[in-house]
Amino acid sequence: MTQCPAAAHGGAIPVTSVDEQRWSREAELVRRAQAGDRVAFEQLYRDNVGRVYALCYRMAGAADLAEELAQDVFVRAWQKLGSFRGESAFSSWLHPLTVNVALSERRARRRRVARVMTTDDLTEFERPGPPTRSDGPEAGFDLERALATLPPGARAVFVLHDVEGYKHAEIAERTGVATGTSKAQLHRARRLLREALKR
Amino acid sequence: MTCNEARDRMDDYVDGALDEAAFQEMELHVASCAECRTEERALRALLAYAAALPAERMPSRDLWPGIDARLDEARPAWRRPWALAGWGAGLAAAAGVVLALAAALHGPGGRPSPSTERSPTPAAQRSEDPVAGAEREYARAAAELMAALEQQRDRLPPETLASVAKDMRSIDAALADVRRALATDPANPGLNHLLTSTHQRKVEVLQQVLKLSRT
Repeated sequence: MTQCPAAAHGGAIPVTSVDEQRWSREAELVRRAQAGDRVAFEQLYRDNVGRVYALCYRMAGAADLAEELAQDVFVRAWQKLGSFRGESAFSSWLHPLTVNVALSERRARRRRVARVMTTDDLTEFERPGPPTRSDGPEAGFDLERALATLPPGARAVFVLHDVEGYKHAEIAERTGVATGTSKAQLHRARRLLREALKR
Repeated sequence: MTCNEARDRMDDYVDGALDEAAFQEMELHVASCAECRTEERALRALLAYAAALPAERMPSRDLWPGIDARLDEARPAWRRPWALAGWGAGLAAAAGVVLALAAALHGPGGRPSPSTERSPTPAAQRSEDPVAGAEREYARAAAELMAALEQQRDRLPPETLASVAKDMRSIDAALADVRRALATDPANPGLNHLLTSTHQRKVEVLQQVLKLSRT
């Protein structure tokens, strides 16, 4: 590993030559994609689809919907690529875009559900699904499957706060709810997941 | 403090969102109440699961053909409005910029000690460690933000730069503390969560200052 000059002087954020090569390669791919090169954009897709899909899957709670969302994210990214100025990693630029796409879909779905629901009784959603245990030795609890059983609002807040590290104020701003509502949703999500964890 | 009050505050307690007095009160209660201690441990275990989720997950099929088919219709609303010449070289040179900014932020003689910044284990050992991997990701994000900030530093008043330097020293000292604690208890989920949340805080501070410099 090589270190940046700052490290040599004790200021020390380590930068590897591998990182530098990766950044240079990514910058070149973005430059080409911004010029309309789809092959370069496909490579950016392949480099980033794992992160985008993981977030979509956790926000959506279903694989088929997550695949649709991930596709939407990359189409939106293609449309907005001109606004990417290389001030962060491409994946960092893609992250809020992914959150926005997932939240937009949730808002649209909520409107559709509101049109067809005839009851306000949401207690049904309070029942998490069946016990979920992974066969892997490293995890006795499959959090992602348990997440899928949560009410959509609580799931979104849990993913944004506890997995992605957003603050309540940021979540409130993005989702259009009060900060207190975000906290209440998180509390609800954690309670339901802990119940699943106990099984 | 009653158990009901403690449960009401449990989320804020594990999130580090309580003020000092409330935090101490919770510490005392949790230490003396087995039921609330169990509750706290279950919550921290859940957060550890959340923190341990893999950053990547691959879809069951290749999504590219579906995306590619939509790109013709999705006409980019952009034309390259600025020259990108030299941008790649700028990224590659980010390491050098970090040095300049670190000096500017921390001031002569105020530079954090190597122990507060350097990761305690060599890269070869850290390559298989997910926590070290997360540390590297945060370090990379912080380096990128600092490089971007360096380009804007003329637009920031000296008192803001001084304040940022103070914040950075404080956060780096906290990181060093957590790393020291982790060295003796590497599997502690609370400490691992604290490490990533402290890194997150550092990145957020830099993001806020960068945003401020552009207003």
